[in-house]
Amino acid sequence: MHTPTPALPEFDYIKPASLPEASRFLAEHNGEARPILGGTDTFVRMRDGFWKEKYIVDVKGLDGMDGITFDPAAGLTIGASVNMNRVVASPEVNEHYPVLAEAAHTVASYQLRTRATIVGNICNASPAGDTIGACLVLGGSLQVHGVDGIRQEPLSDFFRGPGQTVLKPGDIATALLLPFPPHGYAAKYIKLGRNAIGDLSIVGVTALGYPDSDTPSGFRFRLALASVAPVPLVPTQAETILAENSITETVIAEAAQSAMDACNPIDDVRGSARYRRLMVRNLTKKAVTEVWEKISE
Amino acid sequence: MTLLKLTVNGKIKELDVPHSRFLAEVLRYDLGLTGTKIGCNEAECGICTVLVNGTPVDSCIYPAFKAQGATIETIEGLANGDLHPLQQAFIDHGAVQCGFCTPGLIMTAKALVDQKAAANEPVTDHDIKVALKDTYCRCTGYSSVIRAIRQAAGAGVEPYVPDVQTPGAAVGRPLPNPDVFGKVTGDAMYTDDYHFPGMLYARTKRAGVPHANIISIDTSQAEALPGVRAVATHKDVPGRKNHGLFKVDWPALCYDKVRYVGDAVAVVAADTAEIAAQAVELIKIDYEELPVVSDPISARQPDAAILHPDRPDGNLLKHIKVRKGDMETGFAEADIVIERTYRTPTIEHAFLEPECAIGIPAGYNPVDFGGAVDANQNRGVQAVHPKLTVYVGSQIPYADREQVAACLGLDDEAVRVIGTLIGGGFGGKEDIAGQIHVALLAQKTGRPVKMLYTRQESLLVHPKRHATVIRIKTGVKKDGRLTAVEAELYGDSGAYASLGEKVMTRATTHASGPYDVPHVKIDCYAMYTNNPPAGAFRGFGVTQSAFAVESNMDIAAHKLGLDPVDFRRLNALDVGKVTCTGQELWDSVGLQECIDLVEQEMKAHHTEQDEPFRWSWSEGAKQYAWGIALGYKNTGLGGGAPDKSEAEVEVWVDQHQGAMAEIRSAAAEMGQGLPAVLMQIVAEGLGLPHNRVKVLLSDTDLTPDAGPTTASRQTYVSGNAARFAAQQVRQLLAVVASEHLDCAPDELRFDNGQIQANGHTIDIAEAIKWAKDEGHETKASYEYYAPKTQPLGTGGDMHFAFSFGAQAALCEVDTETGQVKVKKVVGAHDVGRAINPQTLQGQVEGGIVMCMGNALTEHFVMENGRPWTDVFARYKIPGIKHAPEIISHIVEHNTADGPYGAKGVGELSSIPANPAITNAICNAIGVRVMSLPVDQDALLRALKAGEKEVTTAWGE
Repeated sequence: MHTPTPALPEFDYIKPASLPEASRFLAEHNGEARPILGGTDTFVRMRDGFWKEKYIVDVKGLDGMDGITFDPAAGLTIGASVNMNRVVASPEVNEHYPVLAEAAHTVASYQLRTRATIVGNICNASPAGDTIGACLVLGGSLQVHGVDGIRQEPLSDFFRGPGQTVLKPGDIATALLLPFPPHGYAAKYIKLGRNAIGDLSIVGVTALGYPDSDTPSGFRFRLALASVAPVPLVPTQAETILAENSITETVIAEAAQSAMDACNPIDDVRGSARYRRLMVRNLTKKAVTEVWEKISE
Repeated sequence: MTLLKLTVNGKIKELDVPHSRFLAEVLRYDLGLTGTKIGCNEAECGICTVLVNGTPVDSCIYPAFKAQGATIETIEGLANGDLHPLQQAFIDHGAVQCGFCTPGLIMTAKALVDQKAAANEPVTDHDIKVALKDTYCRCTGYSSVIRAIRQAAGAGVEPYVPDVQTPGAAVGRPLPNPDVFGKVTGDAMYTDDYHFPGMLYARTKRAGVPHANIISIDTSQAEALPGVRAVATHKDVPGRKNHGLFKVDWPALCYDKVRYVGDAVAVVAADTAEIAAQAVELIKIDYEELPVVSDPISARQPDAAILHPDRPDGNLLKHIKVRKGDMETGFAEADIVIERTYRTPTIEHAFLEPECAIGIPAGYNPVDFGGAVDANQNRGVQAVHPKLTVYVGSQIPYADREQVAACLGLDDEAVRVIGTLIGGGFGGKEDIAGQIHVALLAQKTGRPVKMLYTRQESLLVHPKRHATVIRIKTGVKKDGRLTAVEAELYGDSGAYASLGEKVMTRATTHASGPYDVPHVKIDCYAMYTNNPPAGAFRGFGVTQSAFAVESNMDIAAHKLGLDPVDFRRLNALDVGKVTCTGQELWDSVGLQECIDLVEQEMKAHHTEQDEPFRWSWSEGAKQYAWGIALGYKNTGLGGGAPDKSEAEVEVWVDQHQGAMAEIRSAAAEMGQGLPAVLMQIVAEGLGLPHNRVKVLLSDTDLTPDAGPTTASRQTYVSGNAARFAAQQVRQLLAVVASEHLDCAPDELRFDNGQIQANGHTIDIAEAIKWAKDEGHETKASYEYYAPKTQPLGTGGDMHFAFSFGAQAALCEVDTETGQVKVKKVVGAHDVGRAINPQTLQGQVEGGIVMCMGNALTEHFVMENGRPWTDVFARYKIPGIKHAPEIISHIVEHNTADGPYGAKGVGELSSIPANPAITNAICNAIGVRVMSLPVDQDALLRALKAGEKEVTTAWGE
């Protein structure tokens, strides 16, 4: 029977048998094929008419992409096919990387998280991506299968603009790699939406801190900010302030101010640029204070 | 081509479908499992949730081939002989209203309950809120949904039914709606669930520009497209060119100009929706663009572009005036005068079922299209259609019929409108959407034609809640007595009249609040603009003016150092008082009791039990405070309009069940619970068990005209029509039975299906048989006219009843982010009499949460006539995570002429919550919100800058 509202333009749903086959297909059909994991964003964008792909290449479930493995030496590997609800429930993630579970939990609804993946969230490269901050502060990288074989891309140099990454035609991100986290660390993700309704974040702040005898402050902090620049933003100056000065309320406030100054948010209906900057300051302060209280105990 | 193989509800299915088909589409349109609903098609609303291998997914954007080989569970697979515990619990707890989101809620909940049961863990409120986040329900307000899920998970939760006066046999009891079974099993039929052999699919060419003269319309390319069966423009409208409920000013298809982006210029019927959509793209329209009128104040400026040049008053739809006493005296008597200007935004109904209509040509026979005459495909609907028929989920079937017939140049009697179930209305399904278009196209093509709006189209096209600017000046004496209210309102009525004049009249006549004010002068200007039309929306203008009135009341109380509750109590309307339109209230004013109950509950539930009550307190960076507001709302059309409803009651004897009755009325059920109310009234009247009373609604050939389902009127008017029709049937049976039993008719007692008299007890079925044997028709129609009302400006009774309410909200304001949360709402509502306390509770909870959305998140944002909120992702309605705890009391000051003392309730609960929330915010942080919805950014800025008022709303 026919559907009463117009269906999407016809596309071929391709389920390749192997990664090399998938990479080859994507490279050969550059511009008209798109790899999907959960497909949660892709189909909405196609429905909205933004994307008009001829081939949808479902790479979810390909060789070795479906597991979470933890090794105290190598750290954590989350296969690209692992959905967010699995990450939220994973004992390894909750024990060693709870901030990632925390961030994943704020993504959309349970129904969408049964399909949405961390790797997909990263590859979408939305400045608002909820789990990207956690992956950044945890020093993550992506394992990528391309036409020329397998390589790793550190997230610190992965994002190029809204929706743009260093990935090339034929590239398929197969896993997220997180090193073993620093000893004695703590981390926090704060997502601010509009009047607490589960909206896209107006701003998101991730803070991670750990004791480090090499720094004057005795601590090192890593920060990541969402929705305040064209790409997920790391306010390095703020990190430096927290490393080089003995940590007090004033120094945290100074770092928070510096994080705010590093932002270049847009003004839109979801929030004014002024408000976003202010919230970066307030929430950075809050997140760093909370982390510091934990790691300085 | 690869086949799609699925196991659906335990049955293996193999289908040959395109790759680009989604799971929801396969389930609904290929497998006929229409219990799975599509609400937004963008994975925002969650109501399409089904389980794939046990996990819940949004099936609307789930490619069917992704489920290759998977096991799918849908709502239809849940009941296994008996209802699933979740289905039963949703019924028991009154968690079903319109029913459109029910399958999605239940399937999402099932995944949670199964998962927790497997882990041997209990299901907490928190679990439910996490699991059902972003599975929307616009009707219930979620409290009943949470209770139902906990019950199904084995928590032993009692249904929340407020205390009411001693019930009758049926009236006053918490009985489930008779249609609820189908809504929890997926059997319930909404318009898009119907399919007719030979059916075509229609799309509409929208204006796309807010204001322009039409130079030319070229449909030649569209007509030439293979698969296109008809293209219609204004030239094809054989009858009246315009439609409209009150003023007939809205073109069925635009001819001279377009006045908003959603205006319909042409419609296409084709073999598929894709072809129709393609054809729409091929229609070329030449426009001469005109200046855009984007708000009601600039609409009244002398240099404004005029939308309807044929009207005498420029863009003025109506100037509405209320005059009482003398303003000079009023303000001279005042010790303080508070004058402020408030603004409320355009609000979208966001009913979860997008508009759908199906037109069937006269003489349609499915056999001609390879179908069967007795096809039970549409669950009991007759296959052959002698008349031009429109299937639609409409709030006013008879008005649809009149408008369809007039535009097609037919007699009313030549058209039949069959009202299907409505997946939420709230006032947004009173106007014409696709009804005329499908009728026209069906007539043109000789085939059934279905037109289903996409969510995006629905957002763009249907009338909204009026945006308003309200300047209000309140005079008060030192002792707290109100002396005068002067107000000026501007209402943005959009491109067409719709019910704008009526809505803004209600805003005007309620703009001095439910208070005794001796001197009142109110002027309202309802203006045409190039925004989407504004019309009916639960609260009907009073939601807007209550925000202004109740804000000013709190400002005055603070200025005079009076307790806001005492101040309101001192001035509140009561029996013997006179409203601003000069109406003396002579019965059923339970407002004082509502205030007392709310004050009591607020103080009992405020925070830690043993601390004395405080209006506000702080915990870290969070500020907490209570705010209170009152509200009132007319029942019925009023203003001199004859308010009539007709109902028919018939009794017969069923071979298996015995004496049965049916109540027939063209009133509409959109989830508010009317079928239960009518069933209970008829059961009470006839002395029949309630489950022997059937309810038939909304069919212009089978049910008499009950007027519009609007203005909180159906319980009162159709309730009375049903009551009197039942009384006549009973009278007939009594007369017949009294002869057989040898006693006077009024000695007979009708109770529980029996008639007792003279020591005899007979079954009512006996009396029905006797009556039939004697040649009587065992049915009666009753045309009920509500008490006469007077037009505004003439004094006297403008309305035959008012409902009253008080609500208090506990809010949390985060002083670091400006975020606002509503923690608790306590309410008390005088509804005259609760015919059904459980469905009434549903109205209260749903109305409060809807109003909370109005206060905090909802704004239909437009820029120069073009909506920004054109997808569901941008228009945020409250989700389950934000549902506050609601404590509610029913006050029953019976009204003399209402059925068993009842008056309306549908709208009342969505009136006081807005100002109760903003009053709480002000009590918490000392900043008054002047414009809705609350903008956390502006709120924080004002707080930090030490400003007392914030005039920016979110979305500006």
